[in-house]
Amino acid sequence: MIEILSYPFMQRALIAALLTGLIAPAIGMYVVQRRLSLLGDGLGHVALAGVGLALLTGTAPIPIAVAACVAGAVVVEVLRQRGKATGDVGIAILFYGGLAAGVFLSGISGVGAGGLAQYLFGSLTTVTRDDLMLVGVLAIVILVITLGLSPQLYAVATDEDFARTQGLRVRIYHIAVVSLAAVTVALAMRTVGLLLVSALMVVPVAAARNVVRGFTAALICAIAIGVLTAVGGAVGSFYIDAAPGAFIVLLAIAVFVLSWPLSYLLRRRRAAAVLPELVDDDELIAPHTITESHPHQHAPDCGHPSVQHGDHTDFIHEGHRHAAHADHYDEH
Amino acid sequence: MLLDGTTALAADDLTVELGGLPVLRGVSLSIRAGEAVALMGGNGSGKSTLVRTVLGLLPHQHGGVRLFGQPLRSFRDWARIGYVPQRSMALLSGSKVKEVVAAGRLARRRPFRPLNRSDREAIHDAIAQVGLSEHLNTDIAALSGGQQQRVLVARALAGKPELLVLDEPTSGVDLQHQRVLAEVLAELISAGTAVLVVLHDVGALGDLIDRAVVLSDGRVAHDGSLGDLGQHRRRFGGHEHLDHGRDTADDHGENADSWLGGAVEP
Repeated sequence: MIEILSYPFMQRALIAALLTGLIAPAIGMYVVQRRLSLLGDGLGHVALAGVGLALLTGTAPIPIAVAACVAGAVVVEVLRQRGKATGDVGIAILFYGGLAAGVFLSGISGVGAGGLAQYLFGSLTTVTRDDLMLVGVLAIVILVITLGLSPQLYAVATDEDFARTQGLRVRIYHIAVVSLAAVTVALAMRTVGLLLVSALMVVPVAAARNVVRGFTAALICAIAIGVLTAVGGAVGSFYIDAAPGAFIVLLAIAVFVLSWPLSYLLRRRRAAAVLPELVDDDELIAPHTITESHPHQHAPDCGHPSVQHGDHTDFIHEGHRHAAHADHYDEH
Repeated sequence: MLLDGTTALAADDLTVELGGLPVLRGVSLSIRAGEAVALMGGNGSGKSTLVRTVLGLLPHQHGGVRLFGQPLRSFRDWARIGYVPQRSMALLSGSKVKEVVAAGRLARRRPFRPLNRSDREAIHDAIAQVGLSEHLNTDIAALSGGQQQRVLVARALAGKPELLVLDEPTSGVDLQHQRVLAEVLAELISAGTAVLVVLHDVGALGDLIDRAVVLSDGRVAHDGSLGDLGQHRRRFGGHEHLDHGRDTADDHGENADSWLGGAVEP
């Protein structure tokens, strides 16, 4: 670890990875909540159009990619809000239009489509001081907004109509989220790459939701997973000489895969933690509380933990411990 | 229209077109503080459209809406409004009950400010009011349909509204849970809250309703007590008890049963 820190390019790479790991899941949480998981991918392709334009005009690619990406995101969001295109159709148009424009513009600039490759897959070890400054400023802006405005962004992402009746400017919040996602994607082309940054917006969020309960807990857990996998991937790729962007995303997916059995174990533990106090003191249990509609039919092999309770068997799930009684379930 | 301070909601001659088709054709409706109004009618009669329009969620082409005397366009005092939309859990699943209910305080909170003590108390009180205190940290997706509906009611109550608008809160909810909802609403109404509730059938809420407004084909077909509605229906040959979804329209039903979509039990 000491060795890795002695190289200035690796210091920059690690800080860039850390910042990308922080911001991508933070903004990704709201994007995923709105069922727009592929938005980042669509925006990545629009950023390519910006890179193509930069190659053609001989200017710096990042500012133009950021501008193209934000413009694309806002146009799609406005089309969606006006009912001209659904979210997925809008993203598909971003996808194809951006890719076509990127390849077209880089072609006529004389560089060719091959010149786009470094932006597609990132180049963490060539991150410059200026890149880092830009990502640093963005990280502060995104974290302040995603954490500071979390209650508002949550309400807008989960129930748009209700958020409006709370006086929230829903359109502005939506545009803010897609714009921040666009900036995140465009800047990440120097770190994990345009094709892979979307994974870092989505996969840690999906993993976090498997292991923790609630929106806020999932947001914090997703950021933690994003940071761990981004830094872990950057360090690991240094030692095994692999592409950092790809390694980071594979690590994130590994965490997601592991989150499945972990979520099962956690659920069992939560159920077991509820059990002893209920068993020890029957006086505390409300007599004959009936469960509402309960479509699931409990049985010895249904997979829910069970416990013998006097002359019957109670089943435990989601904070309930109950037994079948006539046509309903009694809470015990 | 002149309004005194106690009129919570006044819609005047509202016309709404959706996709070029008229859905509301000159609907007027007003609700006073402490009054409970049921908005009824068959599928497609314009109930939800009316509710969404008076809350500013849909644009109207003609007419006007006033909330507490303020024109809708300039109305900013959203803390006075509580809205319980039709139950749709797709985007809310993965949230704890207290997180969902906390969203009901947003009209009273400023951006970048954490929940203060009175916010937290209001959230806990609202959850207790609907009888879900033991489910504060439960994922809303793990609750039954009736409980989920009560979470949405708690979310609207957390802001301590003076006008509560509920869009089909009893749909898919069994009678036992409708009764719980009826108790909660009765308490609010007696405290002076104005309630506008969209109902497909009155169910357990019948005793609370001061006035029933029945929409038919985008127009107000009846505005009066539930009892009058029953007499009206009998006069035109309606049935005392009608099955859900049964097409009961007969030669006379045009004026009675067709308003109600064949689903009212007064």
